[in-house]
Amino acid sequence: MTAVPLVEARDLVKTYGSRRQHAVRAVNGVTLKLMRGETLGLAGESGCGKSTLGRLLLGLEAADSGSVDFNGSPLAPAGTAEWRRSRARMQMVFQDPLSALDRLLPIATQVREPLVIHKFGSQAQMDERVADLLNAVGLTAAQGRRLPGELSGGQRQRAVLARALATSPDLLVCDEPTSALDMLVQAQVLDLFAEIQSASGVAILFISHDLRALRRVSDRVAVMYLGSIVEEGPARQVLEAPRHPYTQALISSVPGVHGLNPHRILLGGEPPSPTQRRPGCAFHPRCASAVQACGQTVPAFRPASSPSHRVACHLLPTGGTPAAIARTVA
Amino acid sequence: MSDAVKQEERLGMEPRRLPSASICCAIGWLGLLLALGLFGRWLAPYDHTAIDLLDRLTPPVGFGGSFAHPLGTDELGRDLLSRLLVSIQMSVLIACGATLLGAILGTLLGFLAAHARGTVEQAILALVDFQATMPFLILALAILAFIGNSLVIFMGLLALHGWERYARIARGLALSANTQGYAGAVWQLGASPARIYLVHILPNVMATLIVSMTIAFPEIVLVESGLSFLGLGVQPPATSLGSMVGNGRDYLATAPWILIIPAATISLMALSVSLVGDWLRDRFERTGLR
Amino acid sequence: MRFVVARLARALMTILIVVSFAFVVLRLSGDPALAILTNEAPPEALLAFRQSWGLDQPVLVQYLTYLRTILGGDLGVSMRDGRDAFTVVAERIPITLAITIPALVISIAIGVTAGICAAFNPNSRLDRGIMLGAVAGFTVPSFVLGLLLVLVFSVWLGILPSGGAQHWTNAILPIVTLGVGSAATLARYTRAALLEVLDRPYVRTASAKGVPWRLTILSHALPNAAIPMVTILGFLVGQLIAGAVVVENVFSWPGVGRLLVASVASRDLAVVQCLLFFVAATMIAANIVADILYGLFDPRLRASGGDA
Repeated sequence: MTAVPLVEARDLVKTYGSRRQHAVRAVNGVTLKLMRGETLGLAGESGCGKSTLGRLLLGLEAADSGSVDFNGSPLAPAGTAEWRRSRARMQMVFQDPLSALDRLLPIATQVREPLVIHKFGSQAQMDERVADLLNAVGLTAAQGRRLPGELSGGQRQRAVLARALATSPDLLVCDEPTSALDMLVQAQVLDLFAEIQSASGVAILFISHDLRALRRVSDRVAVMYLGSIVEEGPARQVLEAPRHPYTQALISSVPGVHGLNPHRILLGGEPPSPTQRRPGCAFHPRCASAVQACGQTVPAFRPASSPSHRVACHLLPTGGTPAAIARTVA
Repeated sequence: MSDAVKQEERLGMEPRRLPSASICCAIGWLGLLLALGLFGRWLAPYDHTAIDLLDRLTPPVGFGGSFAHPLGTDELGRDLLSRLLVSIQMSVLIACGATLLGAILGTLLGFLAAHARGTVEQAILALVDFQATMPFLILALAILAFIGNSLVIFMGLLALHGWERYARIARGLALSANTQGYAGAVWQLGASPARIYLVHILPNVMATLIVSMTIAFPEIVLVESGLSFLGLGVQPPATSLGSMVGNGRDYLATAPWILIIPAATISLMALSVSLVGDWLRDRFERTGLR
Repeated sequence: MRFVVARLARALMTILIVVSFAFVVLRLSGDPALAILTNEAPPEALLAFRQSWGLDQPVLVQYLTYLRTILGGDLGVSMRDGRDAFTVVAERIPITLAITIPALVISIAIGVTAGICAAFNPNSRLDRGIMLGAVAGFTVPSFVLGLLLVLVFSVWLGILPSGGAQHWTNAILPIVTLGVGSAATLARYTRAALLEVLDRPYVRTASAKGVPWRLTILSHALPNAAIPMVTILGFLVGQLIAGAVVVENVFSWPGVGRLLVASVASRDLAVVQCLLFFVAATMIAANIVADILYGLFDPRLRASGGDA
């Protein structure tokens, strides 16, 4: 653990909207580390601030407070020449590959673009690199000559991935990369991510609301609720033995082989609204096991089953097993 | 029920399609004008300024004239066919140049507004508002009064016509491309703004800009001919269709052909461009290339 | 309330830009002293002018002085007849209104009717005819149309005077010429607005319920189509002003447009500047009226405007 983390974020806060009453605190004090070659899955409902966190880590947007270090040094402000140069080291894969690609340019030209921008080498070297990239993501040279509109959704996402990998970045932020694809293609693309990850050693922040997708690719998983991370740890521990009540509810809602879990935890209360924030734990208005302290102070991170599995919940030391909590709620 | 179906059919026909015969005529006429604009000067049988006082006010062929001057002559005995060809060249040149300049200016300002945001964007939007509020002819007259006239000033002036439309379109499309689309993706690849706007956004908005140019072109032809008609546009010895009409108005009673020939040419040109523009817009809408 | 404030702020912004525009082109015209006064003005007059306008000051100071002078109501003196530029312009305004207002009224009557007729029978021969006529009316330059009318009614038929302003019959041809362009715009716009409304669910529902087609148009479609149509009022006024400049010169009608062209030709800058401000004021007023009418016609805006 002496190595410098690839990405280290401290106390990130990002608020949207200028008026105080309607301001949305999309990210509310997130501290996060991502090591080289590691895949961190970021889970949470839509609107919980996952995508914003991803954009903050990439330096696409500036945080209101807090800092992001990349390889031990802070990121340059977005739009500057230094920031543009740093893009060769970190890349993004988007949710909707069709809108992320220029509809008028052939796929190969777009895969080549980062090489041109970051002055990769001679024409011949670039040609070779593009061919390798297309091959690596499972596209043929003929498909590379087509326009984005002439490919399927999965093929387009492969093209976006090839483009993101062109400069051999250290970090890849994938924002819901499979949610626009159908189930079968999703599985293929997820396998591709895992394959690329082990082959190239790139670190991946994999943002998804789909827990099964996360489980398939992640080394570690962090769960976000209303702008804060509530639980974080090795993927197996978080997804199989969740300790935070929100994570437990989230996991119990995933349909299994036999359909919906009959003991699934149904969340009560109002849906989360990032504009009206209550004091204390963000989750307490909907938490079935909330105690008085939950409405008063924000819980700090504490190690759970292992030192690397951390949970922000007041109930942790005294709280019963997940199963017990599940029973009380059901 | 049948009424509703009929209505359905009526509505289904939108956007309207004009009979293709008229489109063909319009395209043919525009092609002819363009060719005459390019090569007309060399087809002209006489020098357009050559005066022949013995051969004044000759009517065109078919109205008592001879083939020496197929379209007749004006009050100074200048050959109208030659003047018409030179005028077409001048009008087409000015309108094309001004349309192109206006499109470039407006698109650049629109991109600048989308890129810079903040004060620069607000200033550009205020200018757009101003330009859209004021009748262009009045602004043009004011500038001509204050700055004076020359062919370069005149073309630059006409280029100011309609720039605000390109600016609006370019800004709107660039903003949406930046926030959610390909432009944002290319931006995070580390591309420079010049690359994003010129290599990616410009080709994507081109279709829409071209349709706007077909709308602006006939308007510029009208403003140019109007100003020239008023004697404030193209100055002699150069001549344009508008100044030919202005010239002919004093001989309306005695030699109406001096006026009718250039007037008909202008009207048909503007009408053709307008028809072709509508047709192009329909086609772009149908193919979704917008 | 917020809406009104925003509207006024925009109007002020436009006024500021118009004045700044005049300042910039005035500066570009060379020495404003020579431009506003005549070339033959005595040197002491030029000097006094330069000092009173602060031409020896930095540009920013000059700009502020200029703003103060203009907003103080001092619009300079006409070079051609030595009178106050404002007076020169003001006495021409009623003459122009005498042809523009009838043209506006007639074009609304004809244009809206034609548009409704076209929308009643979309893609019928009548519709195609009206729309082709509208395109023609929109694209044939007004000076060409005006001269053709002169050719037919004055030269060949000899029933209407070709120019001047001695008798009310002199106004007929200018009014018709002016009205054609606006009527064409209105016909196209009415048709488009109506057809758009006809495609909406409530109109489809009405006709599906068996309400007669024409009744549907009258009771459901027209009132709703009127809402977007109000917004082109500003455009129409602009079209009429630009049209008046050309038409008054075709028919020697001694209104504002003729004054403008004569002043531009003789570089009577004080008058041109005054006319520029007059047109800007008219356009701003027209747009504000359009906004108010829009608020009156659109119940949604009225409801939210009450408490906003």
